Amino acid sequence: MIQDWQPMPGDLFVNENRLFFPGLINGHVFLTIQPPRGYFEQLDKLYHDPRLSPPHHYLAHYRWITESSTPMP
Amino acid sequence: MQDGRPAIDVLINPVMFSLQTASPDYKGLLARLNVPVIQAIATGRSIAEWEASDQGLNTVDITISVAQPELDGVIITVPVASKQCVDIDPLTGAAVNKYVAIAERMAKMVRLALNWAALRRKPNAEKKVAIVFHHYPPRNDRIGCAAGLDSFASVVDLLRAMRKKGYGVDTDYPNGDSLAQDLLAGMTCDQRCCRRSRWPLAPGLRPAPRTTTTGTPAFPKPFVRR
Repeated sequence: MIQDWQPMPGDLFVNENRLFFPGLINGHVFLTIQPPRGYFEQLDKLYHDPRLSPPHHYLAHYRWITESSTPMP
Repeated sequence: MQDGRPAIDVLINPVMFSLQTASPDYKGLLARLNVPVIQAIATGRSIAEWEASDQGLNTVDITISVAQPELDGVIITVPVASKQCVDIDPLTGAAVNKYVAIAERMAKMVRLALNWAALRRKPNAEKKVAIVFHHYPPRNDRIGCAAGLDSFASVVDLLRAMRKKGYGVDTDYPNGDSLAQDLLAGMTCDQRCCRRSRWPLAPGLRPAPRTTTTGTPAFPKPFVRR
């Protein structure tokens, strides 16, 4: 991921070194949008290159959902 | 089963193929058990072959360990075991194969199973749910895109049904469009119209303490704005 996207947090959806995620919190429900696999200009490469890793923002989005809602046994 | 109730909270099933297509006797068996059924997927490849492969599971693995079990409605997980040649039989020269655990994947499957079991005992009011709208290509006009399905209207119906079942849903949207507009009013993942200036760092956007006490937000709100 670092090779493909620079050190964390990269530059996708980053402001002042913090990652931003879309969505609405509705009580105990988080309604959100699937994060993109990379830069808008390179869509074909992003979705069809099996060796390209997901961007930091992509993984962080799902990690945040998991870790903010799941107690880890 | 004990007194008509399942004695377990979760079942991990290592059996390949589909139960209910194997014999009509098994039809409805898992539904009667009424617990989450986790498929423990094994690959017929060695761990070295599996690791070196871009595809991971091969076609046969997917057929008998993923696709067929899915017909029974089980929960698909990750490959947890690989077939290793552990010995050559000295008398016949036959390879002696054994399924060997892939430790890290096994741990993940166990974690999933424990979480599913815990979820079963948790009241709906305490459950937290994320609903992720499909997004391809990643443009605002493609959020929730699906052929023949109004995703926003479906989610509004889903939220309403969840609310009836006691899930913590605050806002009842009158229709799909109102939910779509609410979602579009904040940050989205469309990089053509989503500039950094649209993500203000409001003073309130600090990680909330992670707590399960009632009355606090179910999800910490560090990076989400309405």
